Amino acid sequence: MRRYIVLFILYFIIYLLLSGGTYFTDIFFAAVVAAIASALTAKLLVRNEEKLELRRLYYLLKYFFRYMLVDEIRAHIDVARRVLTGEIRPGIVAVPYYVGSNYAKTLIANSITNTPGTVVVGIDDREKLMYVHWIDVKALDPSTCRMYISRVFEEYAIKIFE
Amino acid sequence: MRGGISRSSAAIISLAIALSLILVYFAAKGGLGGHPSASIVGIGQFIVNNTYNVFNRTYWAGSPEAVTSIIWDYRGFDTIFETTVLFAAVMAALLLVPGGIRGRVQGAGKDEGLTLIVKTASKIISCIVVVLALNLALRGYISPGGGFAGGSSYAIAPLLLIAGLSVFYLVRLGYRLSRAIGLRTLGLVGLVVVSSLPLLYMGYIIQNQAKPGSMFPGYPVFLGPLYLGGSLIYMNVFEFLVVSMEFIIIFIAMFLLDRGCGGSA
Repeated sequence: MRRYIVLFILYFIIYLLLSGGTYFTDIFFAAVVAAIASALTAKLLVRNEEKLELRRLYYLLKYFFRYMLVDEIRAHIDVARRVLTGEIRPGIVAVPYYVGSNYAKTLIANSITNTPGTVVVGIDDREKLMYVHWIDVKALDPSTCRMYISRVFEEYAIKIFE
Repeated sequence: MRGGISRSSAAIISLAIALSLILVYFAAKGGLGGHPSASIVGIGQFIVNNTYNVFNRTYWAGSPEAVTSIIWDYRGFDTIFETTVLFAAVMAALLLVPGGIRGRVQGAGKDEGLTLIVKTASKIISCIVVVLALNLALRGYISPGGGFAGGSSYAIAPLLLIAGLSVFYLVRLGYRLSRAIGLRTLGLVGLVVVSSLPLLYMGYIIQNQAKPGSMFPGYPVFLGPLYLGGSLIYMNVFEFLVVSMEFIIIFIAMFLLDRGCGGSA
C-alpha cells in the first residue's frame, strides 16, 4: 500500500509541475492521473515497500544537494583546468562496487558519468566491476580508483537504497 | 487466440462501422453545417489567387498545387522545423537499438537487453513519460498538446521498455496485442459517439458549442468547479486512446515479427 501512496504523491507533484498551474481542474486531473499511473507502475518500480522511509528520503535530498553543489562544481573546475593546460592522462580503469540493488548501482554509475572527467563505459555485474574512462588516471589499483572516483557516491547509495 | 478475433471485439468493430455509416449519411444530408462567411476565407482567397498566378508573380509559388505550396513555400518554416523535430526524435530512438545502427546482433537468440543501468533508468523514465503524456492529453484544451501529441508521447514508454529490456517484458507487464486492439477500437467508438451525439438534437457532426441553426445546446464547458472545454476534453481523451494504442500495436507486432523470424538475423 505504501508504494501506491508514495508514487501517487510523486506523480501528483510531477503533474502539477508540468501544468504550471494550481487551478482546481489541474489539481483534480493531477489526482486522477496520479492514481492511474501509480496503480499501473507501483509494482514495476518498487519491489520492497518496507524500504520507503523518510530517513532514506532525507539522505536522497542531502545527496542531491551535495552532489550538485560540491562534487559537480569540483569536477567542472578540474576539467576546465585540464582543458586549458592540456594536462591529461586518459585511460580506462576498473572500479569495484559492493551494492546489491539495481537502483544503487544505477545511482553510482550515473553519478560517475554525470561528473565531467569520468564516464562509465561498461559494467560487469558478475565481477561487480564498473569500467570507467578517466581523464586523469591517478591509479590502476581498483580499490584506490574507487577511493578517488566512487566512494562518496557509494556511501550515499547504500544509505538511500540498500 | 491465434489468427481469430474475439466475439466482443467483432461486436465493437461492427458497431464502429455502423456508426461511421450513420455519420456519412448525416454528412451527406447537410450535417456538416453552413459554409463560413466570405470574410474569414480571405487567406484561402489569397492562396488561390497567387499560388500559380502567371500574370502577377509578386507572391506566386510557381505551382498549381496549393497545398504543397503552402507546406513548402508560404508556411515552409513550419515544415522544416517539424522535420527537424522528427529527425531528432528518430536519432534518439536509434541510440537505443541494441548493437548499434549497423545491425550487429549481440547474443542472438537471447533476450538480455542492455546493461542493468539502462534497464533501471528506462523503467523510471517510462513511468514519468506516462504522467507527461496524460498531462499533454488532458490539458490539450488549455495549453499546447492534445490527444495526438499525448498519445504519441505515451508510446515512448513501451518503446523504452522494449529497447531497454525486451518485448517479452512488455507483454508480461500486460501490454497485449488483443487488449491494445480492443482499447483502440473503444477510443474510435468514443470519438464517433461524441461527434455524432449533436445529431440527435438536429445539430451538426463534431459540434462542440451551441451554433446558430442548430438545436444542440453544446457540451458543458464547466462541470461544477471543473473546466472541461466542452467536447474538447472527450475528443482528446479518446484520441489519446486511439493514437497511443495504435503505436503500441505497431511496436509489439513489429518486434514480435522480428523475433518470429529472428533466427536468420
